[in-house]
Amino acid sequence: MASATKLPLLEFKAGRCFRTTGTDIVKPDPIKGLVYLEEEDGLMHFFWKNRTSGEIEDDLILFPGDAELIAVPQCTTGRVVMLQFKSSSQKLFYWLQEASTARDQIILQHVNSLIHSQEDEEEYLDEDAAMEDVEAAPASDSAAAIAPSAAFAPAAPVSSSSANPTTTAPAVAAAAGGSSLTAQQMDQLRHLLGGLQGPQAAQRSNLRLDHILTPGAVAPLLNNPEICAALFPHLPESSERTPEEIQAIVRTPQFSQALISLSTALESGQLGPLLRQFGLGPNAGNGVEGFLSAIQEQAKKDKK
Amino acid sequence: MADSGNWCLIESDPGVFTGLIKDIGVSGVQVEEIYSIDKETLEDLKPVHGLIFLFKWQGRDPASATNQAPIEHDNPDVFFAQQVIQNACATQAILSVLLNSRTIELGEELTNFKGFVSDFPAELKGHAISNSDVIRAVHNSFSRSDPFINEMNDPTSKEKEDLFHFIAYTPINGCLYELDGLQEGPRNHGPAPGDSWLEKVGPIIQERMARYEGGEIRFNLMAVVDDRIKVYQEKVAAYESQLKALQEKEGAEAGAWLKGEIENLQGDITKEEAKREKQARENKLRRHNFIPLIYEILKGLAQEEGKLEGLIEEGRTRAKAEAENAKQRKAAAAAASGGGSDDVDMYE
Repeated sequence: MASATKLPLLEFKAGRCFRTTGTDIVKPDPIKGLVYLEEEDGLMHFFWKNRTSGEIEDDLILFPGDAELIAVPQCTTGRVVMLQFKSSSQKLFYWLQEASTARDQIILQHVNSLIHSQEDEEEYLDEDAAMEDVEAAPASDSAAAIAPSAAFAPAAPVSSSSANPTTTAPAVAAAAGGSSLTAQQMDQLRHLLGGLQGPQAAQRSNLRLDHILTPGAVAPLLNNPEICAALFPHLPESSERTPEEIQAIVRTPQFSQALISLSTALESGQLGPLLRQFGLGPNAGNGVEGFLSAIQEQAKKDKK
Repeated sequence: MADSGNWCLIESDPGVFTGLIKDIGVSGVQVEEIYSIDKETLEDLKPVHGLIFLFKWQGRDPASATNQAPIEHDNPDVFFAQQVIQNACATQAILSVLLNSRTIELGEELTNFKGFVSDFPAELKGHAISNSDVIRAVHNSFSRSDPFINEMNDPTSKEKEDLFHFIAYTPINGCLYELDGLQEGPRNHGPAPGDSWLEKVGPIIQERMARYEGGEIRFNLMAVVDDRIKVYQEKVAAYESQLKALQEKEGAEAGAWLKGEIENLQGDITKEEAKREKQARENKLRRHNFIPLIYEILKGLAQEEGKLEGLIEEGRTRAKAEAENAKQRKAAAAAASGGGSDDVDMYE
């Protein structure tokens, strides 16, 4: 559960929708929910909370610029939005449950600006003057829309938080290009929905290490004596120190089991300290994908 | 106590159970997996001390059978313990067979344990098992190699509702008993003198299996049997002395059938030895911490340009396909039980 002391950057009432497999039909789930964005340890979290049970059922990390919240106009009976990712073909659908539709557009723009603001942060940091000009216009517009409801944290549009002084600037860009953004996305959307494949509503990546380290994946490595030498010390004591033995071991169910267990532990996000012993950066603690990125970063660094 | 009460998840594998039994100090028995409950299969494995029926299922609890064998309370000849901790229940099912046997050599640890708890009510016996440092330590030594997995749930199960359940069937005082840790007491299925319980038990297990409908169920059947190599060697010794006697009467060419049987048995002994080596190897792998090896392999792959990226992409495809299959299976199950609500048609 989110800690009571943290103010979300944004929240709005929304339910989830699930795509019926094998079709292009998206079914709304009637459960009352809440989408909210929160920054935790420098990462933007996208939460969906079940308002009836109080349980947080979705917790996604949105990397800067990696995701976009798009309106789905094809749905004429409800206000459906889609969270789409650049780094994967994952698509999540939600339907707005806010009583009034007045703020629907602002919600979309605000979510997207928060996602993009992480990218642009450094760029704008020194441009105080530019910020001031820009602050005046959107602040008053959004303040009027936002003030009556407690749903939006005041810090965001008014730029009072020092951690995120630039949220307003990109918001302007988004607001100005608001309508064209949607039109452009509508085209993309028709195209994408037509060709949608794969599972929907996989709320969290189910990628595991055993999906990646198949026996076939390891085989080519074993032609490299240097790499084999790096692997030998980590084989079980009674194993022979040969490439053939390594190949035999990675084919065993016990090795697959170890891959699966490690994947589960990585997804629990609790392994950070354990992984630092390998000299991996902090995103090694962010699930399987984070672990893999950290290893790739480390390899790049070691090359230099 | 450092990890008091913490029982790790172990695999339901005959090599694991055989190793576990040995490490607790029991001698002369092993655990075999069986794939059918027919008479022939069980005949081949005699003497059989008990059967352990273990299953893993998702879904609602089955309706109770209406005409179950009666529960017997307070029979001093029957060791029955209630299940207290889910992860301990495989071990507990095995103990149910071992501690009810009149012939198995239990070793010091279990003999002491049996004496210590003999007067305890069923629930307390269950607690005594879960509090036994020795039994728990041996059990945990067969758990997956990862030091950080403390969960009570199976990390491989994608659903939190996966449940494990083990039931033991064993003859005690000429009657067939069902020892189910989730029940209040042992159930007596009636007289079954000698080996006849092996015939009686088949239909009982089948009826049990039939109760689980509408969910996914996976089950294994294990038999606690005498040490197979010992059994084979005793047969060989018996045939060899028969052969010797026959050849003294009829000459060296006699006894073709006996010679054939002896050869078969020696082949069985060789196979059994190979199986034990394989199981020992697997147990070593289970104990091994693979994290450093996994890390070094990934590092090696990352060093070659684009290699790891490619594998990750392929992995994502596999993962999606797997999730898709799971969803389809779930949808099929849901459809079978009826369902449907308002859709939002994207192309209205």
